[in-house]
Amino acid sequence: MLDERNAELAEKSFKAYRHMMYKIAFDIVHNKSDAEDAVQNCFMWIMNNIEKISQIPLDKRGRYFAEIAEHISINIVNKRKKHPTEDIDEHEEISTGFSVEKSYDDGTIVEEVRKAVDAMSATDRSLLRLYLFEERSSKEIAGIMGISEVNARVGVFRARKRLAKLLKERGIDYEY
Amino acid sequence: MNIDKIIAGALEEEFEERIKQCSDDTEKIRFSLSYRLWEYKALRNLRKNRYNSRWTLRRAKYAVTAMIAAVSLLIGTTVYAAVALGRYSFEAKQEYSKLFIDKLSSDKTSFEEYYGLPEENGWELTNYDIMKYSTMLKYKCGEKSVDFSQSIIQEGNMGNINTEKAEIEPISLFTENDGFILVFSDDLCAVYWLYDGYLLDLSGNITKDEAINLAHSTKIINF
Repeated sequence: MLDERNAELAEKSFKAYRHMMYKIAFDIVHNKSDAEDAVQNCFMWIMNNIEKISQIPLDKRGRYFAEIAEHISINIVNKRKKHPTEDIDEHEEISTGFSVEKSYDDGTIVEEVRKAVDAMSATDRSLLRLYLFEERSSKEIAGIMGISEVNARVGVFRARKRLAKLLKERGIDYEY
Repeated sequence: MNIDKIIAGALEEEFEERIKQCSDDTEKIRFSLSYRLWEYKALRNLRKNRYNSRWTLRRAKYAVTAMIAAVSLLIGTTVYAAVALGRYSFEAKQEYSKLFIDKLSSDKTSFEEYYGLPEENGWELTNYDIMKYSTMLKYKCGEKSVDFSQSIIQEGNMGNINTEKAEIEPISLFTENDGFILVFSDDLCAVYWLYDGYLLDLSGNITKDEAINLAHSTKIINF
């Protein structure tokens, strides 16, 4: 049971961000019913993590709820798939190391990378953001995304592979 | 230059932009009825410190589906309200309503006399039609007009009266509960009443008081 202060915080947080969470979810699941399910799951997340939320500064909460909504929505999409990520071959290796064609200047590369990122799927973007920007480990990503650690590792690998393909179409070569 | 850093930056930028778009978008979301039910109850439980994780959106969907099915079943068949108004019963349906005049009987099998409105009050008979079991008289008084009808009571085919959009009220004209009035609007009324073994009715662009007064003033007329 939540104490009165936390119950009030949970309600206020939910009411303040439910529309934003719905829109983020809808962009990923592409249907109203699943987006509403995602918002409901966000509410449950809030209920179960209210202590953690209370420690997040107010100006960071919006982003936090957006991330939660995104991860929950990706989970919904994964569950909806006939062949979820569990069938990923566990023996695939994650390579690292990218190289960029020398003929591009920095501005062009940033611009082309941004275009490629925009063309990625929500799941791939989320996985790579966790991995590259937040520098989360496979174990942490697995916990956040609700998948196994192996699937998290392979998911990141495949996301990079797909991104590499998108970049190649834009004249940027990678080795992986 | 580290390409991973560029990608990380692009991913972060894309995400921040998306959050901003979703936050700034003021378009109101029309949540489903199930969602609204779930949210209302979930937040109410939370406020009362009775949060129950078993109350889910799925349950709310079941509840709404069951509710819609029940309402559809009721409306789809017939809502028999059976509201007794004097000697009448009222049956409400989705598209229309009607009154049944039940248990009526009369020894009148043909017209022994004809009823109509008194012309001395300014109502002028402009047209009439005498049929075997009913009459139809048309009266006019200035801008107002009234249709007056007298019917032989026949069992089984009497009293299917359209009451759509009307307020129905039983009235007592000559005996207790001998009629009812349908008020469609302030100046559109109809009165049905039993008199001398006949069913009489009048309707027109008249007020409720005018309709009752005209019914009271009914008298035998000759053609």
